[in-house]
Amino acid sequence: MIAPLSKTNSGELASCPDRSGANGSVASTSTHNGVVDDFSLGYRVLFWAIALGLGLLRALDSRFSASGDGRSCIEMGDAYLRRDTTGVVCIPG
Amino acid sequence: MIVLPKHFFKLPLYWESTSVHLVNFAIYVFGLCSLEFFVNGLIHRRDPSDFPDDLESLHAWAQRLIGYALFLYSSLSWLSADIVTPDLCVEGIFLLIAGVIIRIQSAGATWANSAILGLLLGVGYLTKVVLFPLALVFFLASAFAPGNPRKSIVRPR
Repeated sequence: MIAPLSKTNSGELASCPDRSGANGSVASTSTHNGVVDDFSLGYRVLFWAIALGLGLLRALDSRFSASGDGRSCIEMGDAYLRRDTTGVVCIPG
Repeated sequence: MIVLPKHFFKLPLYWESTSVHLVNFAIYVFGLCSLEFFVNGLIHRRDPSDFPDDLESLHAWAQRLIGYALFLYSSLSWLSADIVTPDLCVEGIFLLIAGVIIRIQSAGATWANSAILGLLLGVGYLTKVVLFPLALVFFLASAFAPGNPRKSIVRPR
């Protein structure tokens, strides 16, 4: 689950208060190399879920469409697998 | 790469376009992994206490948020997962190369880093020719990344 928002530990960052996240806007559990104001794992998982969902929707929505460049790329791939060297030499677009 | 599923699974012509778009989606997932690699390298590249007091750097969460937002915008709007071009793959390789250069900056050049950088530049050239001239830029960036170019030369033990 997403970690709740809380203030970060600024103890290691006393010399650099601007990085301490003292306004408590974003929580973090990461302490690698002293970085304590990073996103928590929950927020990263949320981003990945959103990004994968949007990407999958775009891919499925356009699964029967192909642009001119796309058709050229498919034909070049087919020619490559057929070892048709003249068919491979093609500049899409 | 986009036609491999069609040939491996002997798909009929009806499923050709769907399989190509699923490969494109897999490349999009590869780009996401590359983004995570790049952003993690960017955030952890040095101890925050190394920054001078007068140099304000972005919060780690802000860097990550900007990276995520730019990736979503560029991938879904500019590159667009429904257009079958190598651009998504180029974006993923570009982020990987940038992540490796950041690691060279923070940890110095090692055999592994240098080999991975060369491999990525080679794969990038095979993906799209634009990465060939850009390879020179990446080589220069990796040479000067550690500060002193002598440190970027990997010597045999």
